[in-house]
Formats: sequence, C-alpha cells, structure tokens
Amino acid sequence: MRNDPILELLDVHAAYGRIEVLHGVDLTVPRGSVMALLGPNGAGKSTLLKVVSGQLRATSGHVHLGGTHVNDASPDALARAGLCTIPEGRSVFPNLTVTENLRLAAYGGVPAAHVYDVAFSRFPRLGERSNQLAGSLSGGEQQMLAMARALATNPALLLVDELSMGLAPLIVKELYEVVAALAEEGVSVLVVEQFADAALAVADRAAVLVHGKVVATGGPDEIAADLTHLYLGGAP
Amino acid sequence: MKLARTVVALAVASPFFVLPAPAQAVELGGYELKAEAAPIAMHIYEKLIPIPAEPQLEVDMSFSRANFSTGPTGRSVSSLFWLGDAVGYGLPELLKNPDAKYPIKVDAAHPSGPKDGKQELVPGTGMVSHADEKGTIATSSIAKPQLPLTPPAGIPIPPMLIAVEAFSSESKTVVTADKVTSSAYATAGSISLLGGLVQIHGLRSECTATSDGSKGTASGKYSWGSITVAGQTFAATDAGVQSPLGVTPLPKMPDSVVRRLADFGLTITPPTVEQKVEGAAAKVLSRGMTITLDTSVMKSKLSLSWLLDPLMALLPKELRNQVTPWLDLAPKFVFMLGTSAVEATAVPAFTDTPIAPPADTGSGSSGGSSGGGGDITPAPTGEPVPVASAGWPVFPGVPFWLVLVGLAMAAAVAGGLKKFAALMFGAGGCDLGAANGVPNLREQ
Repeated sequence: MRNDPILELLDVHAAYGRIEVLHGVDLTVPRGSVMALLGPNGAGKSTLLKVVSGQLRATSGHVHLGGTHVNDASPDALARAGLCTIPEGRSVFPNLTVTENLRLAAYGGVPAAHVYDVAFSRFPRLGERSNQLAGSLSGGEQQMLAMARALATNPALLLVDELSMGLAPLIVKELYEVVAALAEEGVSVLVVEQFADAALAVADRAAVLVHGKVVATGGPDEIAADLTHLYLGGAP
Repeated sequence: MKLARTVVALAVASPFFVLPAPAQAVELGGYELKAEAAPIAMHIYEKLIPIPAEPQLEVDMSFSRANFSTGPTGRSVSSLFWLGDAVGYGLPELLKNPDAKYPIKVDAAHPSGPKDGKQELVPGTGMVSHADEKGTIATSSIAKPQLPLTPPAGIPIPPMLIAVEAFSSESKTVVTADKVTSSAYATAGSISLLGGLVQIHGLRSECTATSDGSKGTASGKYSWGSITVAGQTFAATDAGVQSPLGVTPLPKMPDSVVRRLADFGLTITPPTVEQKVEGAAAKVLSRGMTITLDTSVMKSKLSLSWLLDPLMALLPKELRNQVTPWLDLAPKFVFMLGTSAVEATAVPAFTDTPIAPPADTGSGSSGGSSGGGGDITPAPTGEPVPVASAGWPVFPGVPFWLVLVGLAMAAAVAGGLKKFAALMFGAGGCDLGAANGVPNLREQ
C-alpha cells in the first residue's frame, strides 16, 4: 500500500441550494487502502460521495484525485479516469436480465466478454442467474450485480454507498470479503456505511462524519472503541 | 370483334391506370409494441395479503403476453395458469429461495434468449413462446385437440381438421420495415369446422393496433355465442345480436336489479371495446364481461358478526388471536372474461437532410475576396447549380489561412498562459493540488 493519497478532501463545503450539508470536510484516502466513512443517518455521507464523484459541485474547498484538483471535473470524466461509484439502492435495471445489465457496462468501452468474465468469475451465482431478470434477484444478488458492473470497469478508486442496506449479515460479510480482496489487488475503496461492524472489519482506516464534519479519523480499532461516543455528540 | 378486343384490352390495362403509385415506405426509428390476452382472468385485491403487487393475487387462464421495442429487444411469455408477475417472476424473492422458479410458464426473449420455448403437457394443451429480431409471439391453449377428419370419397375437400378450443390466447408483435403491429386474441369454447369454413365461438375477444410512424390504427372486436359461415358472422356483441338484417339490441337488466346487486357488492360490466388513437400511437382494450364482487360490502350487508362473535368467544384466546386476522379479510374479486389488449406506437427514423449551401453566383475567376471586380451573374436556368463537394475542400485562399494560423497561435498562447494564471493574476485552479484536469488513476 502506497501512502500517497489517491483522494484528498480539503475543507470541502457542499450544499443543496441554500442548505449546506458539508461544513468543511477534511479526509484523506491512501492509495490501495479501504477507508470506511461512518456516520449516523443524515450526516452527509452520501453527499460527500456525490461531491467526490462529480455529481455535486463543492461550494468551496478542494477535491484532489491523484494529487490533481478536480473540483470542476464532470462525472463522466472522473469515471473514465478510473473512479467508480456503486450508489445506494444498487441501481440495477429490474426489467433487464443479469446479462443485459452487465452488457450496459460494456458501453463504457470494455468488451462485453470481459465484463461477463469478470462478473461471473467473481460472483459465480450471477452466472447461474444470467438470464434471470435483475428485479427478481435477491437483495444480495442485486448488490453483487451492481458490484460486478462496477468492477468490470477496472476501477482505481471505488466509492461504495451503504453496501449493507437491507441485506442479511451473511451476505454483507460475503460482499465485504470482495471489497477486501479488491483492496489487496490495489484498488482503493471508500466505503460509506451506517452500520459500522462489517465495514470496520475490512477497513484499513476509518473516519466518522457527524453533522457534515469529520469528527474522528484513525484505525478501525480506535474508531470502533469510540464510535458510540462519537455518534452521540463527541464532536470536538 | 374489334370492340370486344378493345374492351378486353381496357379491362386488362385498367388496374395500371387506376391503382395509385405505392407510397414511399418510411423507415422506422423507434417503436414499442405490447400485446396481452387471457380468456379468463380473476384478480383479487386484498391489502392484507403480503404480496407487493396490485392486485395482490391474480389468476389468468391461458395467458399470453408479447412485448417488443426498439433495439430490437423483445420478450414473450405464455402460461396456462398465470399468477401475475409478482409470482411468475418474483417467486425467488417471495419464497426467499433463489432457486425457486415458477414452473407453469414458457419464456422467450430477444436478444438474450432463449429464442424459443415450448411446453406441451398433452397434445393440444401447452405453451409456446418465440422471440426474434422481427417480433415476438406467445400462445397458450388448453385442450385444443385437432382430429383429422377424413373427407367423404368423391368430394373435392382436402383433409380438414376439427379444432375444438376450450381456452386459448395468442399475443403477437410484428415489425416490418415501415409498419409495426400488435395483435392479440383470447377465445374460450370455440369450434372450428372444415378449416374454418364454419366457426362457432363461445367467446372471442380480439384486437389489433398498428403504427407506421405517422398514423396509428386500432381495431377491436368482441363476440359471444357467434357462428361464422363462409366469413359471414352472426354474433352477439356489446352492440346486440348482429345479422345481415341489422343489429338487435340485447335486453338490459332492469335498473332496480342492477342497484340491488351493487348494494351487495356485485357489479356486472357489459362487454366493451375501447379504442384510442393519438397520432402514431394506437391502443385497444377488448373485454367481454367484467364481474366485480366486493366482499367487504357484502360482509357489512350480511352482518355476520351476530353469528361469528359467539363462535369466536368459544375459542381459546391464542387460537382466537390467530383466526381473527383471517376473518378480517375482505377481498375484492374481479372476474374478466375474454380480455385482449394491444398497444403500438412508432416514430419515423431521423433523417439528417443536408442543407445545400447557397449557389456560387460568381464566376470562378472573378468571385472571392481576391477582388477582380467580376460580374455577379446567376447560374443559368437549366444548368446544375454547383454545390459543396464531398471531397477535399477548395483551397480557400491566403486570408483564410492567415486567420486559421492566427487562431491556432492564440489558442497555444492561451493554453500556455493558463498554466501561469495563478502566478500572473493570483488565481488558478487550486493552490494546493496540481493543475486542473483529470488524471488517469489507473496509470498512477
């Protein structure tokens, strides 16, 4: 793991109209690491991911990717550069089959055969359901499909929003094992998670976002020990 | 003799005079087709049933559905016993078992496949689905034996079939170069003799919708207890009993009877054919009869509590708690006989008509900015007007190149200055990170 950051946020503010959600976020994701961003509901975690992925412009502050200022970069330019987002709610196309969902990833320029190969080797269960409508998959399988679609783009930085939402603990564990395996292959991962245990189990670093500010960063053990205190008003 | 030859010649040649020239086929750019049919359907609406669908339960006998849209992508499904999409496709989720699969259906899809699907339980009873790049079709039929009938000796009738159809439906979508068509039919209890020369239909609902990108057409028909002889149909429809002598209206139920039935939650809707055409979109719904039974109304009218409450009181408390929710169920049943529905819409392909540049009104030697004082003379009538060539552009002259080179130099200077913008003006992309731009993260 290299220590130079692949993602760096410096005093980032962001707002929806006149309502400011991020109040000066400072966050660093080292290259090749898994960073867990924890926080209670409404803390601004998903907003932060939108800022990083270019879907929402920061009103002030600096977003650096690979050391380059990318505040004004478009989402598609960032995606082409190797940043990939798995949004909350999986965002699979329910009326398309698994294969058709995966084929959509091929429109980004990756050959469809490569997409299928990556998806079905990483998630054999998707191969068994290749002709099944995505809407009829279980929640875990839908999340696998969303991850497979993202991995097919060969990302360098993966942003994952609420991976565990609505899933059984065993499935969550299985998905986080995939995240850990990705990090071992050199992919940097920023996982936004409301439920901390699964994320902390695979994270190299963790940060806690409360009320639009990062109130703590550190190793997963340190954060886990103080989590309750931090969630309930431990902001400095 | 000469007159006779003239008449024959005119008769032979007349079609060439009166037939209009065939219309120019318009290529279609996008389209969407839907067709669905079921001779008998029952929908159950009850919010307490834990199935996330509306209606909560659905039973369709001999169901068929075919969809097709631009891509082309298409999907067809046929089922002898269809319980709705929630069960048909959502069984793994409902049962929390990813291997669960609804068995009484046959799917076909294009381009993902399978192209063909077929299940024939016994001869004449089965489900067939097909999908390819030209359309989709789904057929479902129950007990449709086809028995060869030996023609009597000496009568010039080829071996004909007797087809007896208990329930069947077919939904079909077809795309040709300039037209898209959705069609569907649902029948119940029909008998076809002599290859269709004589047909007796107990119930038949059919409809067709087409679109050519500019105009849609819709047609629908419903018949009940009809007989067709050599193409002449005598039918009882929503309009009444039809015959060559006219239409005799069906006798109506007295209003008082209708009101009394409604008081008990029972509504009977007569056969309807709804057609709608808006521009290039056409939609048809043909439905034989709809019977609605709202048991919540019926329960309140019958006041069963005086009977149930004492009985419930006799049950142990635990059992009573379990039984009570079931007694609270008051589903609404909707029975539909002979339903077929189709939709078709299309748009013509976008054609980028090139705009011809204005004609060069000057002569080759005198035009342009190089001067010369040439006369401006219009192109002579009848001569081809010069237009821009598809090949290499004509050399535009020195001033053009001067301007082009000037712009290129300005762009280069601007690009260079941008790098030093922060240095020169105290502003720039970022004072902490590198210059603006998106790096390729995979190569770092």
